[in-house]
Amino acid sequence: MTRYTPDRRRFITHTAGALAGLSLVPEAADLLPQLASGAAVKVGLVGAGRQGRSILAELQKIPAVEVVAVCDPLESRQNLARQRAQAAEMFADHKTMLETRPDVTAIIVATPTHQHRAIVEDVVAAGRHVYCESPIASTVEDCQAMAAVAAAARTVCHAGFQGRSNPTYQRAQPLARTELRTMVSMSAQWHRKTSWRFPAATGEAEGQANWRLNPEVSTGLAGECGAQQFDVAHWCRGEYPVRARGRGGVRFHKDGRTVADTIEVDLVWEDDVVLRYGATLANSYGNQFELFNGINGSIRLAWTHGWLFKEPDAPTQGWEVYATRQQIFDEEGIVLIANATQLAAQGQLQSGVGLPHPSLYYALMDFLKSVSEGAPVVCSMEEGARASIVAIRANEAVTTGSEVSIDVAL
Amino acid sequence: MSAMATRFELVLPADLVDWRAIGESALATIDEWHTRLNRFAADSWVSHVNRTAHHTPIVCDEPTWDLLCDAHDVWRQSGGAFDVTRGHGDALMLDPLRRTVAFARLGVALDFGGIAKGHAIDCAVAQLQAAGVRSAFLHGGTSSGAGVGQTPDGRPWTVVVASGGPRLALNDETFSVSDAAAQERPHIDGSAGVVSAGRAVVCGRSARLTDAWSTATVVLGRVPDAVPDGYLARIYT
Repeated sequence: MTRYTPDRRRFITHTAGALAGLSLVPEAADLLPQLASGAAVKVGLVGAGRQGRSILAELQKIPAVEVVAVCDPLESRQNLARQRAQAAEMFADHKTMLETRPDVTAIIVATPTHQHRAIVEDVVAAGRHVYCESPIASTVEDCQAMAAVAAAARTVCHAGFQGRSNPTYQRAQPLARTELRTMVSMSAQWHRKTSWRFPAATGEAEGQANWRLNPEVSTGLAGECGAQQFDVAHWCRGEYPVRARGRGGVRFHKDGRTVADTIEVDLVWEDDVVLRYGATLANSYGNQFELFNGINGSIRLAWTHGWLFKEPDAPTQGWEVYATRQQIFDEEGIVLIANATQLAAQGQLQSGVGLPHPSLYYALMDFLKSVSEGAPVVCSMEEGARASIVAIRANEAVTTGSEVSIDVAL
Repeated sequence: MSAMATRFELVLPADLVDWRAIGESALATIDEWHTRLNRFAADSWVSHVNRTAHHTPIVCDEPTWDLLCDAHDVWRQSGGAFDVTRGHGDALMLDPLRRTVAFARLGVALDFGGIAKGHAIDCAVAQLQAAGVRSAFLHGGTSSGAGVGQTPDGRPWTVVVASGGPRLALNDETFSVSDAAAQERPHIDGSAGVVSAGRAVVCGRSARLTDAWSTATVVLGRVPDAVPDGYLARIYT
């Protein structure tokens, strides 16, 4: 019988740099959140492409959720969605769903970015709760309009910036301000070797399938990939950058595209601290991470894992004594599990190393908790609009090759 | 690409329009199944099931449900020689109406190691065919693979099984090779016999089933009587 082992790339992505690092592990209750018992939340999904189907896979894990409607203009994608939402009614457009299914209270929008605004406006106008994927829009004007609509809404309006819901990142965020003491620099990357080109589904035009490669509507790598990571930096710093420098080009996929397959972006904060960001479709080394450097140490985040590396002259904190140790390659790394006593008492010490669900699950769960239990919105549409504006401006810096200012006023 | 602790390779005709997008999409499907079925990753679907299914039935999507049903059928038909529960096949509860999986007791866990590659290959082949591909060859670690249609010049895809194995001619067929030396001793009920050394190759329409039956064959040390019609199983040394 063939046995799985964690593949090397995933292992390195999650452990590289972990030598002598202190693992940032969230509290046990945050790892396996549950919705309060009660009537099931009836959910509708708008957009059944790859991201939409990933959302359906996560929703399937939540017993208190019923996906009762899926909207997509393509029958082939409806059929794929039906595999994960057996009982859902299929619609070609969201307006029909809103008119004919008043029982659908929570709508998740996972269409191409440039289509978000019109759908979100319709959903809010219909008095339903809405979760909108990141980035929330492809233009500053749309971001501002969506923020205004959300500000006037009486329903939950949640932007899908997943770092804010990720328990590991929630553990790291306050430490970025306290343990690092003074932040001096940041870096982040998103590396995949893929064309970003998808075969058109039956009935779909090539341009619709590959909207990310259309410069008229695409926010490029800075928007479609960087937005989530930039937001982690805004959130950890507690403020937004004020300008962006960028460059990029088609350095590998010379298939006629004009949207860059490799970019470098510098986001600059008021105090001149810079986030240096690289994204490419030509190389997969290192995958995806964010790194924050301060005078007392560094924090490295890789979505399901996070580590704190202390400088030798940094003071030792009491919580660091709850350390277990891991052999990583030829070195012994320290895995420090916060709330280890609590985790151990619940038999979850091991499950505390790495998250039991992907970030998307936690973001959806936060939205559903706001809908069903009135929990505070973890990432509002206003915050999502500001984060999206940063990404849109970063993309402008890449496409123009010049420095652009960033104003996140709404 | 690397997935499931092995290397997957896909051969497509050079004259295929959008070959790169189609090929990447098929390989992304394999990667998606790797992510879902990897019991060593805490955030995988199978880890979620192993944590939860002893107290709450877990809803499955259609392809996962088909995988579970096939795995359970082969477990039953092979007298437990193939078993994704490592000796707890009787505790696997499948509810076809709700399409849920649950465990009858604590201590049960799913391990799709003997069938995941074949399942991922089946899903990738379905995607290739849906994209209009009529000729392709896909394998995972050379031990499981599929020939889609025939070669571009109209011949069956030829696979020569190493170490004295047979020569296979595949025409819209899949194959799997298992080696007894790589098997862990499974639970076998009294009627199934004893573990025997050897290698087995199985050919047929579904790589998921050829994977499962090749494992059952080497575990039993003989070709099981229940190998379905249209599937060819052989033992060699």
